[in-house]
Amino acid sequence: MQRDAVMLDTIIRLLIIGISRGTMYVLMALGLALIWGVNRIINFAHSEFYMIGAYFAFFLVSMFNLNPVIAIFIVACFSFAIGWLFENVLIHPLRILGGREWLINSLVLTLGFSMILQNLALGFIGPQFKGVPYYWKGTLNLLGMQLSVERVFFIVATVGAGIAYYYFLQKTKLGKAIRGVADNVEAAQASGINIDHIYAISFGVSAMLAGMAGALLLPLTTAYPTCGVAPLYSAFVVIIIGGIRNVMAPIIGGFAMGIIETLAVSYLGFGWDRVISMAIVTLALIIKPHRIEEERA
Amino acid sequence: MAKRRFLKHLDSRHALVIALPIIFLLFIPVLSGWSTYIMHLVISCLMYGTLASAFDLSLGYLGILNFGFAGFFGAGAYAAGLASTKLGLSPWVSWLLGGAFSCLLGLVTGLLALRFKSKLVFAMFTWFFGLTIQQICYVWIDLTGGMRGLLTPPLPSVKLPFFEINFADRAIRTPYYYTMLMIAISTLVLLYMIVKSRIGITFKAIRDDEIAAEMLGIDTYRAKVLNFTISCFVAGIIGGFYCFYIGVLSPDTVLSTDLTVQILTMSYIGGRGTLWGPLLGSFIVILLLEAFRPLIIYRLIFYGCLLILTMIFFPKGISGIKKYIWKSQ
Repeated sequence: MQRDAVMLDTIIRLLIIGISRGTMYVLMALGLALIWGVNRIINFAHSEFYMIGAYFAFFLVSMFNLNPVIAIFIVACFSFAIGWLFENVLIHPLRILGGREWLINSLVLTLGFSMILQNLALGFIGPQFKGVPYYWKGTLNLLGMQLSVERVFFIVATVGAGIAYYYFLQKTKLGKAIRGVADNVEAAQASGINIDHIYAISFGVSAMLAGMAGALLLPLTTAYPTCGVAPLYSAFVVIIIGGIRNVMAPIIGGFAMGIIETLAVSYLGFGWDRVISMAIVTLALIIKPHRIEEERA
Repeated sequence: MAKRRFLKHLDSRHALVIALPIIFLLFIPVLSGWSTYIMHLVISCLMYGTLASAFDLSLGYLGILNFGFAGFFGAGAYAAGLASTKLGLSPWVSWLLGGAFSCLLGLVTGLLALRFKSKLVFAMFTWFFGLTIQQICYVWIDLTGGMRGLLTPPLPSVKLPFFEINFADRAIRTPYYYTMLMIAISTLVLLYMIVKSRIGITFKAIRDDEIAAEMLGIDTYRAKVLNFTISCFVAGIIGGFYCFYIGVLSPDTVLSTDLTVQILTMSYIGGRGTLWGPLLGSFIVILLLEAFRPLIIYRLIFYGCLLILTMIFFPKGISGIKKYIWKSQ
């Protein structure tokens, strides 16, 4: 009887760890799906927006002693600017000059950009883990369980960001324009939407989500030059399985991914989480090979 | 028939351009005064160059980006290493086994992943695949040694009637140099024969317009899988060579995405869809990096800048410049 109670406790604890790990996948996957859907490119530099967010939050919080909420807000604005610039300076010329094969080229370009940023961080900031021990101390007592305030904050903030993002896409004029471009570029252009503007904005929003994820999870994951790669990898898995059309798919898929990986790590051992996620992708591929393309059409 | 078609493209000017570098490469050990350093450098250039050419067979001729290329290279290396250390097979046999293993992996992955119509999804899937192989090598410590790496024996010496080819001492690079040169030449000849043959024309047709090719009755899926498998086979063979030449395998070096990116950079800089371009690209990139060795931390920044500049301003790479110099083709 008591063993059952202990096991239940462990499982719930793992679930909570998994969900808070899932928050970063949710935010990353939402951004990736947006770029894939609207700009039609796969953004390998997405992990670097995460990294920039994490470093920037670290410097704001540990050096200027800013309130974490304000810091995260500043990081979000900053990441938006970086994403917007990235689209205008690098992707835009490629789209104009790249010719027929520009999609594959854009993938390689984002890869090159990602390498440059990672190694700049390595060269100038160094390979050390930069982190803050916590944003807030303290635990919360919920239904007899001890939850740290931070984890609750992560989850609430992610769900909040997800809802705000959903509202932005569905209800605002800009969001509708973005969805229009995702559906049909020619029709959107014909109805007077400035598509260059939309491409840049969607890149910025996507970078903002990634930067927020990095800043939000700084106490958990710390900042180091390649800190964005693991979340990016899992976010790719999420959108390959969940698709990119439905906003809810990355949210549910991201949390599920976090839980699955946490369970894999705790029961199989460190490092097996990636093997498991690969197995999931392969299975999804065998069962429904054209899922993501039907949605992309 | 394939051979005749291959020879038909080879007029005297081409023959000269092909023969001169080969003769030069043949005499490099003598010219460098049997310097192990220079031989090692040229072996690296040839190795990466051949890998990049095989990579180019899928990227340049079919337009599919195999982003897990390092995975197939490393899988061949690990298979060869494991067959010789754990199974106790002769290194020559294990080398072939390594190639066969990569070929098989390539076949399975190709059959699965080429069902995707989108090239980007395909690239991502192969990336996942490569990362998974790397991860398995990290976590399966009993078999692969994990991060500590896997030590492999050198190739056994070959006794010929008059002299002995001394592979056993790795410090003497000459036998390995000529082995690599032979692999490089035979691989490139093989790839050229494929590219100039009927199936090669099929590849180009698919690259230029897949739907039109399908309407002409070409089995595009089969052609793609074939192309992908050949490319992976070459990667495995070179992986086997690397395994016995370097003597230690670690997931960080042979299986990392950085390796794929290096090969990708070489193909892009040299020019896709030419086969000789990537080889030239590898010589340029490796020699340039060697010249700026003190800046090793910034090496990947250099790669990144090169990639972005090539991508935006010279999408055809060096092979695009060729047409200004040499008006044929």
